[in-house]
Parts: sequence; structure tokens; C-alpha cells
Amino acid sequence: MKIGYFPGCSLKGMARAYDESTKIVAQEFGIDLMEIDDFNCCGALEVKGSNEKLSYMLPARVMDSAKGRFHVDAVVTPCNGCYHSLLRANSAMNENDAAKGDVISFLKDVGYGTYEGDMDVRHFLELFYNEIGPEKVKSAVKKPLKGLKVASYYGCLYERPKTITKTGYKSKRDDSENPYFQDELLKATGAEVVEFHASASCCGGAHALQDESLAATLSASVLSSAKEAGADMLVLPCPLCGAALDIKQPEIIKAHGEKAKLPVVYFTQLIGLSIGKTPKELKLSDPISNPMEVLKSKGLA
Amino acid sequence: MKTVLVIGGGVTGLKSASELAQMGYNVSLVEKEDYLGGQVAKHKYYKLAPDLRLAGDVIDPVIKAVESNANIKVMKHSHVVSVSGSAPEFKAKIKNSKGESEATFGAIVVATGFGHFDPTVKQEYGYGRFKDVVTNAEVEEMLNPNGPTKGELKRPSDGKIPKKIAIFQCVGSRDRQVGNPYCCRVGCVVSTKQAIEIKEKYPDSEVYVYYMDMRMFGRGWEELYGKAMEDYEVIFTRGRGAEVTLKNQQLSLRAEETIMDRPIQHSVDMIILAAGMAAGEGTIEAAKVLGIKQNDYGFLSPKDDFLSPNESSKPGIFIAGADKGPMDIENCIVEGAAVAAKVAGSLKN
Amino acid sequence: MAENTDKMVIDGVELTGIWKEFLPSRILYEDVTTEFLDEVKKLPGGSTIVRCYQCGTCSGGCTLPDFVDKFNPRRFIDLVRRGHYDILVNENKDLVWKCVSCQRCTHRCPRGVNTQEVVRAIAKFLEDRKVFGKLTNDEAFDEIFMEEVIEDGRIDEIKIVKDFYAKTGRLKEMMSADQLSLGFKMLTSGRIKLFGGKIKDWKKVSQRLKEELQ
Repeated sequence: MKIGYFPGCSLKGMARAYDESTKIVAQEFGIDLMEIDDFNCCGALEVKGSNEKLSYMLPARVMDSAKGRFHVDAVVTPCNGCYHSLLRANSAMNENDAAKGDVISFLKDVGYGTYEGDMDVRHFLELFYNEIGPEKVKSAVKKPLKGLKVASYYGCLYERPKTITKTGYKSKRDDSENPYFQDELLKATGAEVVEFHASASCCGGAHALQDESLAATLSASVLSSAKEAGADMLVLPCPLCGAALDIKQPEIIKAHGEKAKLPVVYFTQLIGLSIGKTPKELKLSDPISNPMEVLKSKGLA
Repeated sequence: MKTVLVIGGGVTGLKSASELAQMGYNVSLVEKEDYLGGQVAKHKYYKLAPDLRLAGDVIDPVIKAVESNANIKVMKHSHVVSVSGSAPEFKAKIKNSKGESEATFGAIVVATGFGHFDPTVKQEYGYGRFKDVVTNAEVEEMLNPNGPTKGELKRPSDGKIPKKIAIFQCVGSRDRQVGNPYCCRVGCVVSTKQAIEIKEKYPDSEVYVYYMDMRMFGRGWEELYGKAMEDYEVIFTRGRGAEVTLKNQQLSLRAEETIMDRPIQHSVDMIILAAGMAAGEGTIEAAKVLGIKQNDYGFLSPKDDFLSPNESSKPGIFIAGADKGPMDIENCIVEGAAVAAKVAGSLKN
Repeated sequence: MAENTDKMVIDGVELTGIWKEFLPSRILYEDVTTEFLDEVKKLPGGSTIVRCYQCGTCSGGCTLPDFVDKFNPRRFIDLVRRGHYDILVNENKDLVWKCVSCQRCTHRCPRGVNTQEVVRAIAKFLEDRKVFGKLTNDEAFDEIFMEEVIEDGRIDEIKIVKDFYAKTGRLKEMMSADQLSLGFKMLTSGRIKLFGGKIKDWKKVSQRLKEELQ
């Protein structure tokens, strides 16, 4: 299947491991990702609080490029934040004629001028679960991740708010309170998914810079909850959570102790590993939280 | 003498059929289930608010009167497949297990009623995920001595009697997210009634109602609210239920105690969701078959809410009861009588 | 300290018993006004504040009360609606901006209030009225984010962190041993590039976006 691929700023930066592993996994399973290489920042959670029009225009430009340049009707993004921004812009364009008008005029001036708010926006996790699914992953597994206990974490913006994500309502969407798509995919790799009640709790990432102590407390809560549940590592589908839980982990451990020490990886890295890709290709040495140590100790890398 | 087709054998349909028959008309009453009594019978309503009068006392005599009336032909397990023609000569095809029949009618009364909202879509409440989260309709069945639990309020998970019970108001009502922004009108009084019944049967139990507003506008409803608080120590907390989770294997609820200005979390043994009223399946089907107008929520639209409240958008087709919108039983009975008068008036000419 | 058990009347008010300190009245003697509601509803994301009917579902499920005492979205909205500016500023100004955007509130609101965006708008309302007396971390980050998005089209993670620390006067802190070694590790592993990707024709878009801000 051909689909527009919107990596987002973070995947081209510190979360390149997620970008690489997503592309590898997509290719292995026959998903043709057409990278929108002239993408701009989606606006994340910042722009929408400062200027409403820009918060729609920025994501719309990405979707306009997908439509006008790559002629695709669907765009997939692996980042929760970008997912939120794209869905939000579509929602506004479809419910608010004034917003739609503003965006269309902007796109006609500086974009391809094709976009009117009808792009099918997918998150890579839910796309992969629906179009490929755990069964196909299981058949493709060459190196089952036996003995690896994982905590399947989703973050916030993947499943909330259902006003735009339509979780629990729309077909192909995950559960709105207890998402399970990533759990099922991880089980298919042979790993053991532990029961962990903070799977949809907030890591505080949105305020990782502005409110370090609160963000650290929230992140510590997620990490320690996963660790207490017996997990060897935390698996996630969002680079913003990755930044909060992985890159900031040394500071979190300093403030909250060893209970918050837990390796963090992206789900595509583990899927890739289970189907025989090398740690180098999957950039498993990238995370600061050192997942390679655990993988090596289990004979998985 | 023209025959009137009444679609729906619930409270409203029964009343209108009975009134029309008394006025001398022939009535064909079509009911899709194999029993009469609508939702009252389906969910085995036991006691009715505000007097805690036995539902059987109210509905059984009416059913008996209808079934024994020679002017009323009751067709159970049947439904109307198509209607053609116009007033005062409608041709309706009625189907049941035995086959299809056609008949001519002078007027049609649609009394197809409501359906209870299915709270599965309110995933934050865990209905379907947690066994001990139940609906008010399910509790109604449990409280009936002829019901599945022989009148005992039992936790579906282990059959034990719950000690701490929470009741969540406005589930699927006053909720734009699920497309039901309207008030279900009866949720408040039904929950108050159930709270009293539970406390009456199990004096050691504790019942906590989580509400946004307690709307007790009906006859004797406000007094019932007072009774629940004063005589039965039902605790009413202003704060809409936010989420239900499991904590240490126990049901745990989160809400805001808005009067205390603080979120709270505590465990309970059972949560009753006061699921609201939505347009019933029969109503949606009838609208399609008859080609009559519905409002944004699927309920049937009167020709004019004030001036012609029991006429549908098509002449000769009349609407009454909870298929127009949420309605309590007393008003449904009044609607049944009102629509019968309207039908009679229309057929006199 | 005055200890007096005789009848004492001052200005027509009878004071008896022991009184050591001035007892503040619990009654809210404040004028009500809808001007702040009008203001907030016009801020980005604030328009749905008018739908709120104070049911408490948002505060009931909010992430923050477990960690930040007295954080309560429903209360913030009520204070704005009724115009209780003093309470909003004196008791709540350091709380409102702390929302981490977990979206549980917006997710569950039965009235379609975009609660997270409304709370953000209330925070902005306070920031715009300069109640903090200095540039807050929140404002600083929002400002540089906007600048960088408009200027470059993409966010460079290192650049934004550096600019944030600089703007909040903490550049020295960033140059600590830990941070530098982290940065070095990132650079050598190739996780960050000193020369980020440029978007073709971004200048045109940048210009247009700047016009929108006018």
C-alpha cells in the first residue's frame, strides 16, 4: 500500500532510531512510505495556544504536500504529537467554514492548493496493527524475543481526545481508555507484555523543559510503575514521550532514584529485532537508557 | 367503521388501543416482541416512582383489557413491512412467523417507544469490561422477585450482595459526545427510586449518587428525593462520574466533588449507570417504513410541537409516547389517550 | 492583645470575647463580571469555555491533582466565568499553566468543551496581563517555538533547548558537565546534526505566516 509518510521534526533529530526502524519495518511488510520530505513542523502543542490560524495552517501544508505532490489520500505519522496536530486541523476545517477558508487561501498562496480537509490521517501504530496485524508479524518472526518482559506504553495523544482521534468510535481505531494495539503486536514478537496500569498515563513530556520537576515526577511515575510490574523495558510509539522518558532519564533517576531506571525503546525497533534486523540498523544503541544491555543479557542482541 | 393500526404494544400503544376500542373503533395492535408491555415488560420494571407502586398493578390490567377486547386484534411477534396509500385508506403489509398479511386502515398510530442507551461506547465507565458495572435497566430486572436473581441485587462477578454502591447519572444523556445532548428526563427519578429500593432491602448498604443536577420535576419526585436523603441516607454528590478502574481488584471510581472543589477516588462494590433513553429500534424502523420525519436524534417529529403534538409529518399518521422523545410512564399514558382522541377526530369526517 | 469580657461596641458593631487577630470574612465580597469570560473566549482555543456547565468530569479525571495540589480545571473555568479575578491571580496563577495536555478532560467532557485548550487560554490570559512580573518558562518556550517554526519551518531540538535556556537566563546551567557530555554523545553518534535540513521555498511560507500574525 502507498501512503504519505510524515516523520515530524523529532524523528529527524533525536528520535532518528524511530524513523529508521519504522522505515525498515514498513518496507519488510510491504508498506510503501512516501516520505513528505518538504514537511514542516506540525506546530506540536505550542502553536495552538498562541495562534489558532497558524495551528491549522502548519499541519494543512503537510497534508497539502501529500495530496498535491504525492497524490495520496492518506498520511501516516509515527509521532503522537503530529497525529494530534493533523487530526485537529482536519477537524477544524470540517467543522468551521471560516477556518477552512483561511487554510485554503493560505495553501493556494504558498502550497499546492489542493487540500480541503479530507486526508485520512493514521498513526503508524494503528495503521500497522490494522493493515498488517499481529498474525503477519508472528509469521515473520525469525528471532522471537523470548524472555523479554515489556511494558507497553502509549502516551496521551495516541488515544485522546476522542473528539478528534475517534478512538472507541471509528473502525480501525484503538480503545480509548485501554489501548491494546501495541500490546498485541509486541506479543506477536514473542515478548511478554506485563500488566501495567500506567499505559495511558501522561509522561509530562509537554512540559519537559518548562516545568522540569513536574515532568520528571510524572515520568518517574510511569517508569517506576512499569518497573514494578516486572518490565525489562518500556516500549512506546511517540518521540516526545521518548524525549521525556529516555533522554531525560538520567535527571529523573537523580531526582527520583533507581525505581525510575528502565530502558526505553520504540515499538518498531523491537518488531524489527524480532524479524531478524540488526541492532545497528535499528539504532538500538541510540537510547540513553541503554536497552542494549538488557537485550544482550537475554541473548537477544 | 374504519380500523386503526397501532404500531407498538408498550404503555402508550396499549392505552391508545384501549381508548380507541372504547370509542367503538376496531384496532389492530402490532407488536414486534411476543409479549405486550414494551420496556416495562422487557426489563421487568418492578416498582414505579414516585409511590413505589407495583408496575404490575399499572400495566397488567391494561394488557388484560386489551387482550380481552373483541374490537382489538393483537398481533404479537409481528412487524409492519410496508405502508402505501394515504389517509383515510392506508394499506399496510404486516409480517410475522406465519407469513405476510395485508389490511386497510383509516389511520396509523406510531407508539414504538424508546431503547435504553448502550453504555459500551462510554469506555471510561468500563461497561462490558468490568462485570460489576451494570445499567439501571439491569438493576430493575434484578430487583424484581420474578427476575433473573429473584429480587436480590447481586454482583454479576461473584453473586455477592454489594455493600457500597455508586450510581452514575446522565450516562448517554446530556452528552454531546455520543450525540445525545438532551436530558433523558427520568434518569434522576429512577436512580432515586432504585437507591431507596436498595436501601430498603439492604439497610446496611451505602448508596452514593453522582449527579450533575437532580431534575425532580414530576409528580411527587422532589418529595421522593427528600425521602431518599432523609429516610434512607442516600448520599448525593455533585460531580459527574469521570472514570472507573480497578484498584487492588476492586472497582474504583473517580469523580470531582465539585462542592468540595476536589477530585475524589474511592472503591465500591457495584456501579449502576443511569443509562438514558434513545430512539428505539422500532421507532427508527417505523420512521423509515412510514416515511415520517425524525428529529436530529432519531425520535419522531410532531407536525408542530405546540399546535399538533400528536400528528406526524404525514396526514393520517399519528405519533405518541416515548418515540417522540424521553418520557416518563405517566406522561406516556396521557399521550396514549391524547392520540386516541386525535385519531377519532380525524376519522369522524 | 485585648482580653475583654465586658460588652464592647465600636462603630455600632458589638465585639465581645477574646480576639487576638483580625478574622477575615468567608463571604466573597467581589463584583461579578463577564468581561474576563468575553476575553478568554476570544483567545486561541478559548472559544468553547462558554459551553461549560461545571459538571466536574474534567477535574474528576485530571492527571494533575495527584501531583499538584489544588489544580482544578473546572474551578479555573468558573473563576473566569464569574469574573473572580483576584482569586484567579492570588490563588491560582501558579497552577493554571501547569497543565501537561494529557487530554483526559477534553476526551471526556460531555458538553464539547475543549478543556485543555481552554485552560491553556486561561493561562495565556494571565500571562498577557503580566501577573507574573517576569517572563515565565511557559511564555519563553512558546515564544521561541513560534519564532523557530516560522523562521525555519522545523524545530531543531538542540537549538530550541539552547535558545530556551538563553532566554530564561540559564545558559550557564546548560553548559554543565552532564549536559555537555550528553550533547557530545548525541553529536558523535549522529543523532543530531549541526546543519539541519532546510525546506525548499520555506522563505515564501515564512513570509506568509508572518503576515498572518499581523
